[in-house]
Amino acid sequence: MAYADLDSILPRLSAQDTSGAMERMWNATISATTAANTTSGSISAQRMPRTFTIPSVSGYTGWELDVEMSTEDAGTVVAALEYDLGSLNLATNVFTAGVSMPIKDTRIDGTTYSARQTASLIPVMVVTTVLVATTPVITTTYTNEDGTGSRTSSLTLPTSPAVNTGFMMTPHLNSGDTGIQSVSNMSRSAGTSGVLNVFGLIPVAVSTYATSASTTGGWVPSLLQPIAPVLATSGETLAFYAFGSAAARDFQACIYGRPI
Amino acid sequence: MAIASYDTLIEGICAGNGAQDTFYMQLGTATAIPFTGPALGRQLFPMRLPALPSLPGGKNYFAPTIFEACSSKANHLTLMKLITLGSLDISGASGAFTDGSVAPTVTEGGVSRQIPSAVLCVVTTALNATPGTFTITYQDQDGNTAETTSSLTLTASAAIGSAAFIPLNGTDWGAIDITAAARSAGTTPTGVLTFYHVDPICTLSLPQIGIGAAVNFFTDKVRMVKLAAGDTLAILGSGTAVGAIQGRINYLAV
Repeated sequence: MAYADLDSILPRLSAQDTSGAMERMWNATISATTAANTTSGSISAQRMPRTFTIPSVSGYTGWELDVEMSTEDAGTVVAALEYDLGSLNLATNVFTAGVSMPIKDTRIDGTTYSARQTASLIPVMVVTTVLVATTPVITTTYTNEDGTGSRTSSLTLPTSPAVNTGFMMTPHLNSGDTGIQSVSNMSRSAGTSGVLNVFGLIPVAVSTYATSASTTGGWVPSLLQPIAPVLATSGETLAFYAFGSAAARDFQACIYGRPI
Repeated sequence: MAIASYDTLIEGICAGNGAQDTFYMQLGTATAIPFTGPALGRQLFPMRLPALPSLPGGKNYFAPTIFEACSSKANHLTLMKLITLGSLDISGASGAFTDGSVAPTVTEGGVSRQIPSAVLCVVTTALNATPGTFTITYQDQDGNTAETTSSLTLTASAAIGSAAFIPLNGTDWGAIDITAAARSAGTTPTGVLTFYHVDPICTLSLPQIGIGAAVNFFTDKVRMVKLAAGDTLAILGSGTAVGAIQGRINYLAV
């Protein structure tokens, strides 16, 4: 199926009729995390510790995803293709390189679909192993959205943030930068244990909840969101984030895929 | 049947290949999160939508076209197909597990595979005041050797319909089979837990009491959900308060 078929509804329906759609029920529960402050992204963020691996297709390129999410606290929840851009071991102050943001076929400026280097506009620094560190300053060296390298970002984290806590990096990027293509180094000013990962995200679905009790989900159909369709390919990771709260939560996601 | 055009679907509706079911479901007793750990209360309505009829000649499946509902309380509904993976009668020395089915094998994106699911635990016979704890032994989403969850503390007197997803081990998010379940502790515990595989159809947010909402599967969700003759659908609600829902669902035989 050609990428150009993404420009209409009928091919999407026909592909599901012919080859079957994907449907999954996914759920995660996390304990309370650590709230962000003005030196660490301002908006509290959480990463669910369980991810979904995109399954394979036959005769298609990948999946066009639709994700319906619910949770019991107010805030914004996001399902995103996630890329591990690198990690820092605070005990040794050693950086381990990850991957770069992928090249994806997208349609821009009215042309046909073509390969583009992506950048994450919402990179998130996540505590994947609980930190023991007193207000550590984390310096990240990265390549920005334009491919310019050796840019630096500095976040001062709260003391010993809990696992699954996320810190939004965008407010702390180099002046003028809006995203990250890759990370080349991370270092810390203090800390005796713990691991931080930088994850780059390509959002697939976003829902907002105005009140608690999971009853006011603002689901927006994927085709009506201001996000150009991006295909998820076999082996990629779909991750789930919540923004606006550090409370313990349940997170339910219904994951649907149309083969394209 | 190949969908040659959008008109193919419209023509099918006009030719009488559609079906409609209306429903009213009620939970008259407040439910509870059936075990400690989850923060989000859910409730499974004990009633099911009517089983789908036989397919008309030349048709391969039923596709939902519209699902609409309203609720007597703020609610978030999940329409789904359930498969019973097993059940646990918590009475007796360590409870009695009854094995059910395994996760279904379907064709998706041209590939035939067994599809895992988060495990939904539902109280199908009310728990008494001292129900104890329980574990399940499951085969995870990758088909690895069965493993047992950490012990979960059951909620005293949880009513029928009380529901929550079971936290699995490590980074596991789903299961393809439950091979065992057992209960520990408690004092003359009574009650039954049923464990389900969930195939989600759609969700519907109903933030306003009595004000309905609807989803269109073709134009809103752009999805062709394939349901077979005899399939029955269930509805999961949110929260734990008493409440009722009513609505309807339309199908098209494709």
